[in-house]
Amino acid sequence: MADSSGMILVFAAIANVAGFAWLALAMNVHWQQIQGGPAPSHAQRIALRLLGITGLVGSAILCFLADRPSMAVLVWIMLLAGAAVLVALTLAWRPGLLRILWPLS
Amino acid sequence: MTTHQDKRKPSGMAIFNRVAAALLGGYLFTWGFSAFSITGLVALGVDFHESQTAIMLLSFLVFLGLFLWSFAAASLTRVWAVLGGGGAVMTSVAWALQRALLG
Amino acid sequence: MLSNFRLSMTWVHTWFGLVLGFVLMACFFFGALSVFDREIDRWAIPETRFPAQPMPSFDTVLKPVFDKLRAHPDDMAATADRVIGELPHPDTMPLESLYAYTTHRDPVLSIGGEFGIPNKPKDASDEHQHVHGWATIDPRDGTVLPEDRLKIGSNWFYPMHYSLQWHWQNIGYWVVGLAALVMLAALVTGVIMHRKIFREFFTFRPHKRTQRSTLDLHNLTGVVALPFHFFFAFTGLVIFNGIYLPLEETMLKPMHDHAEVLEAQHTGLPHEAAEIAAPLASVDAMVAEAKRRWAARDVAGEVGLLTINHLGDINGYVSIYRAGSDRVALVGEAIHFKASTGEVLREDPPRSVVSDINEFLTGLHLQHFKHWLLRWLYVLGGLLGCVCIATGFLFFVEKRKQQHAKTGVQGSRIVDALAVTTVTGMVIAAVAMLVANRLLPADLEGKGDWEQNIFWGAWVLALLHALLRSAPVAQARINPAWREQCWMLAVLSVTAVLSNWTSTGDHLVKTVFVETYWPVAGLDLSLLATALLSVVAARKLAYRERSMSPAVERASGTNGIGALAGEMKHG
Repeated sequence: MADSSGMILVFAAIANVAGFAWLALAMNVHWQQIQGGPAPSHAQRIALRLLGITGLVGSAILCFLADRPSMAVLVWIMLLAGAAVLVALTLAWRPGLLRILWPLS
Repeated sequence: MTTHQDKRKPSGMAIFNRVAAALLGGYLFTWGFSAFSITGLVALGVDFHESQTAIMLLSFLVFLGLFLWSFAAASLTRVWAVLGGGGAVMTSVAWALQRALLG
Repeated sequence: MLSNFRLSMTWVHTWFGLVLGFVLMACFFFGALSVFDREIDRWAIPETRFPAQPMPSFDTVLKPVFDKLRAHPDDMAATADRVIGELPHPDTMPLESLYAYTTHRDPVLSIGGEFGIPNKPKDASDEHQHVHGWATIDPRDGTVLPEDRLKIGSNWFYPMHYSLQWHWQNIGYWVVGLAALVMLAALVTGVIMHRKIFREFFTFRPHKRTQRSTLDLHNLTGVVALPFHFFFAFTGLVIFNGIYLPLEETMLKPMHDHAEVLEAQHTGLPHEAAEIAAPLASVDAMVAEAKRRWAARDVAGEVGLLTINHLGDINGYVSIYRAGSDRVALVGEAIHFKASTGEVLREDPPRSVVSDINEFLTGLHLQHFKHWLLRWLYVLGGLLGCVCIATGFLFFVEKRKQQHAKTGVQGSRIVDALAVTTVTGMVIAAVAMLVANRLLPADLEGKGDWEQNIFWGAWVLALLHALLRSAPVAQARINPAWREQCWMLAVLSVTAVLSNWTSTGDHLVKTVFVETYWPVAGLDLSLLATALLSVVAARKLAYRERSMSPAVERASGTNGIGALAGEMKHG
């Protein structure tokens, strides 16, 4: 990890967490935890899923920019694990925090 | 075991037999599989260390599959026949093949 | 084995997971610590708290050190048992091969070599005709460091995670190997059992009753880190394939030996000494040439491993291996030189696809790379593995303890006590060892042995404590040992940080801000985090114990104990 790639990896981690949070928001049970209202509309769900996939793919691209491919694969897979746990724990204890990722409703 | 399929809890002896088959039988089969595959690949002209490396990557996955199958299979006799028999046959073939190759 | 496939797989998951889970806890926890083994060494051996060093000059620094290196008394004794006749005096044994090894995280350098002996082995098939010598040196000036300092990270925690420090007949390796196979089986069967992997991907409901929330956490930590768990268990088996499936040393030995000879012919590196003496050319010049060639290939160019074979012989050769700091695959791309002239004999050719895959898989486990984020993510992966296994135990207990309380069966009580021992007890053992390391006098005879005995002693005490306090579990309540050991752990962790300060003067303000030294600061901060987490856990446990005490239970009616506990914790 060259020092200049440190910043890229920070963004990769953020994109990863955001990606998983959007994917969680696209699920009825978590949408209700965060937004309180009824299930997301069909269009909202599609948009959230697209955003989620973009976040995870974007994170992968950033990992590949920061490191050699063999290393980047490991970093991305491990970031996925860390980000998913973070999103799950946030949903359990501070679901309101995730509202900033979908402030529209 | 096959006669007691309706019972929820297998007896201690049945468990012991099943675990022995999964671990010992599975190991024997994996051993035979690895020896046979390595010598087989060498016979086909692949470098020894190359085949050894490749088969070692496969053999633990083979063991994993056999281990689970040993518990999934209905008949313990069949488990022993496949694992023990297969392992012994492949080990013997590998032995003979090695002698022929170095002969 | 049972009436249907799913039940059989559940049986495998439950019972193998339970029995080998205790071993897996140790593998995952000490494995997680091993990610920072070199840093733990620095904390435990304050004399070596200086920055990581590159491979020093061979000609000026290492050569005089190797001239002084002698066969190690331990290996002298071991070899004396294996050979016929008296061994010669160590001063007269010729050094026939040597190595020097370092990584980008090592301030100190490991060196060693093989000394030739004239004795014949007792067992004719025993080909090992050498006595080994080894040492750890300060690469800045070649000072040999005292040998009785136990490297707690790389020589205690690290071997613990693959051998359990149980060396008789390699049995520790076999137990860990079985545990790794069971881990793989538990992952596959877990996926078969878990019906809602995607629907419950982010699900953790800490406010529901304990049985539900532990299962949530078990599933969450198992699923999100599934690739980590699978590949670490799998590559652990692959790394030790020579022990688990020793084909090339036993049944396929003829084929293996044949291939070795062919390879030696092919590489041009002499397999045997010629028994003709020859001087050693400048090794520094060879290192410079190796670095020049790596630079030409545009790869990172620090030396990781330097070896000389057939030292002092006309067939001698020097092999210079690149440190694997910039990629996953292991040390390699060696350049070999003729020792007497310095001419290049061979450059390792590009590897085949199979060997590339193998080196990637073993390299991702052994992690020689320089990537601090990935290291911390590995620690996280290891700890997620521990949470997964520990919640497995808790779920096992929760599911059965009401039933066991009614029927008077002691099973869940014993499993719970063993869970205490492998969760808080194991961490207590590790931290107690660190405290002992700082509080015992530095010049104590056999200090390393004391540290090891304190490690085992603390762990056994934790087991006894957990068993003695386990009676409430038989009444479907919480073992107070959980809470008490959390407090113990918090006290020990803070003591470790304070005793590091008092014994070395390295407090956190100094190691973080004034003279930044992350190896020590990182461990101190981790210990404080452990203490904090333990206090939080202990307080929550106290809350739950109170809410589940018989008095509260009577007041709230007979059912809904778990729900009540959940509510109290929520509030």
